[in-house]
Amino acid sequence: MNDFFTNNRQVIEKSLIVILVSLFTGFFIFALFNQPVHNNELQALAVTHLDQTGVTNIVTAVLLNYRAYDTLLEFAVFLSVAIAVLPYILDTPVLKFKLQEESQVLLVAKAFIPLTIIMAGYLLWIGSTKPGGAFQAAALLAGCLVLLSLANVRVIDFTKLRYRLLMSTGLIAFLAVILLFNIISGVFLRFPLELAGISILAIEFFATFAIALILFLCFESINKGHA
Amino acid sequence: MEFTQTNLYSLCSILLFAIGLLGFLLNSDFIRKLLGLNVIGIAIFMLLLAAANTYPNAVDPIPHAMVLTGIIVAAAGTALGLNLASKIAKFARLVQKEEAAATPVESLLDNSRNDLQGRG
Amino acid sequence: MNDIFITVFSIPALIILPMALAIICFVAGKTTLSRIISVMSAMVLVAICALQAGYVLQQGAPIELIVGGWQPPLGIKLSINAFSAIMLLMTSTIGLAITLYSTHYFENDDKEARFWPLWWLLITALNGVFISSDIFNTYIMLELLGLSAVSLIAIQGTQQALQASFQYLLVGLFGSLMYLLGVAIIYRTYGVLDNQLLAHLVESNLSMQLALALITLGMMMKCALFPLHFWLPSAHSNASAPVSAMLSALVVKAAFFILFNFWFEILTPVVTTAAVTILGVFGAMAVIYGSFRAFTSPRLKQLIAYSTVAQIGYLFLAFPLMFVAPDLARTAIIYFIVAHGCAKAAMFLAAGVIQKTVGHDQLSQLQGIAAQLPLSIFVFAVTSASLIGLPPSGGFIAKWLLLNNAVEAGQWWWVVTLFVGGLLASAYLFRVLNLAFTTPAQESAIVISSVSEGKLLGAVGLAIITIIIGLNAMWLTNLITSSY
Repeated sequence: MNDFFTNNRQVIEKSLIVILVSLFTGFFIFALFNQPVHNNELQALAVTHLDQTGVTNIVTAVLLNYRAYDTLLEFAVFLSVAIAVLPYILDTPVLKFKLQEESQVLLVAKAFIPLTIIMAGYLLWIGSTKPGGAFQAAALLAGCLVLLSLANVRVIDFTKLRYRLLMSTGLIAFLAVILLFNIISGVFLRFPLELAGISILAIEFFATFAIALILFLCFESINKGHA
Repeated sequence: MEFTQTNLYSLCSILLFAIGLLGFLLNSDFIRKLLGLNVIGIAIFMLLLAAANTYPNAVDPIPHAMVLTGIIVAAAGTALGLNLASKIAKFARLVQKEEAAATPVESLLDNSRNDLQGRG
Repeated sequence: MNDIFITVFSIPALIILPMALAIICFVAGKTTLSRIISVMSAMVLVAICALQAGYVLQQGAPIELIVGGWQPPLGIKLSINAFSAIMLLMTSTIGLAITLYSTHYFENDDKEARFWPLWWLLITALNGVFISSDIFNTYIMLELLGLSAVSLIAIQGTQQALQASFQYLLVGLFGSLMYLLGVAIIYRTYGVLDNQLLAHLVESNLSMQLALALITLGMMMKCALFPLHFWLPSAHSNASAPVSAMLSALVVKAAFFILFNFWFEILTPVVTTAAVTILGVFGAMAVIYGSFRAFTSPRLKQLIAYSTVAQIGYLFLAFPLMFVAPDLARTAIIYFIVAHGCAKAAMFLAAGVIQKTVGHDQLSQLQGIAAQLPLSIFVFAVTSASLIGLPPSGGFIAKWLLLNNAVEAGQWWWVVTLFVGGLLASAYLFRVLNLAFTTPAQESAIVISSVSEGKLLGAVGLAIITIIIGLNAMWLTNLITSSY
């Protein structure tokens, strides 16, 4: 009997886990549908205040007006990861931006990168009126950089100060805008209506580059294994 | 409980959550655990978005913003995890190389003799 | 003028100042500059937090700030009540002590360039957790806290540290995802995220029970309560000394703070006597198990880490008593957190000096260390007194408050745990002190190149604080109790 338990310990453990998770899932479904969904007061509230935000896209209004504090911290989370994965010494030398070999990837890169950059600019620009914004644009830009990296063109030496500065520009711009308006109006994290649109665009513009660079850094730190 | 699109989405998200939870708990591989966590995260986002769509004429924007923020945070966590995993793998390769070179690895083992019980 | 500063500018300063410092330290990358501005700003933070704590405790009303002027439920509210004001003051004080220590700890180590920015992001996150009054904002703070803590362990760079940090990352991510799921369920049901609005709306029903269970599970993982403590010893013992000190003293307390808020401020109608008793039993088991493992640990830092597992258990012992005498139990918890935080931080810093000078922290080879490193052992001894709960220390007052509560509530079995825990704590701590004061068999057993205990200045300060809060117990307990 004892032998049976010691020999099949893993199987028993796993089946126990499966049983527990299924029980939990059953309870979860039961408990969740036991209670009606909220009555959507918040949506109405968000719509009524939309004219005070300086943007017309309601999700952007939530991200950069009503709950801008969350967004500020989200940039900080991203920066903390960048600091953790940033290589301070590079194992492999950085190549200059030269298109040496005509690889397949490079051909694709040449065709797509200009288009993607325009697309990213467009996404950033329409962020205040339609779905879009800094993160979407940054993801596209990071995609360009990844494509270049896969084509063996190394363009970025992460040990340089200017790239560290670029990685933190999103947060710096955000903090600068906050401090400026905080001193003028005395309210923490409120953009004056006439300047709201332009400040949000400025924050998103800098954040795009910062996030794109950090995303690419995350890719590079895993791909090249230097750290 | 009536059978609406929102409820179907909620149900699917719970099942997805269960899949992610099983993936996290059953696998001992670090990367798979990380993937399991990602699936759990996506399930939670799906639950939030399903609830936001309860009144299709007036879609609640707050969960959308929460999910956008959550995705970025989850991506950051995953990136850090993968980076750490690649560093650990690098150490493992180093140990393997030294073993292959048939050099005595006593000193290295001594260093790594450490209380890591209950890992994973 | 002063009041305006406190109510309008002091709360944003708690977030913006450390965040700006993190950016400056990161971009400049110069360690000398980082050290100077870090020490200066740590002092400024202590001053700000002291002003806030004084204001809150005197007025007896929380300081509140509505971010961007968007009233909740639409916007986010930040608030500092008596509990969070004390936590903030403790964070900044311990932060200052560790900052002073860290300026000398790394000594031309390239880790330092990464340490400072992550350090300030960690403090941002801690401050953020304590001032947040919004359940989703707390999630982001938790993630920032978790990720920067993981990175701080990982910069140590050894294989054990990397493995420990990866394990910690998995636990941390899992914990915060459980929390997020709880938040998602709460939002789905009530459609608000603000703590106070939620507290008015919540009723006891199945989905709220599920949410509370998930949040509790997540936070239990993050604050390493007994059955889920497995990650803590390796994570805390493999980090560098300043990081270990911060993790043990404050990071686990942040998770506890959130858990406590959910149980006794936000989801109170859901909490039942059975639930608090279960947590109390977990706490009691943590005290016994943690102390036992500390007693059998071969390494000094591991011993201190297991001692943290035990001390977290005490905090949960107060949960069942919250139903009987909430004010006294809350005061006991606050006292315990402060006493343990200061003592544990100072102890880890002292252990760091021992490890750095001797080159290892194997307990069996630390005989006679007291002769070479008198100051470290002094700090260790004073903080031990507080951890055991010997009379003139803060730890004694905390335990005495708990004991009083338990006896008044007629729940004598918690008293037994308190006594057994105290005995076990004295056993494992005297094991270290005993070794430190015995003369080694061979004279040259320990070769110490250079002894520099100057950096322990902050740790000595913390050790003295644990005594001071013990000596002024009457005044402090009255102040805390009356501010509720």
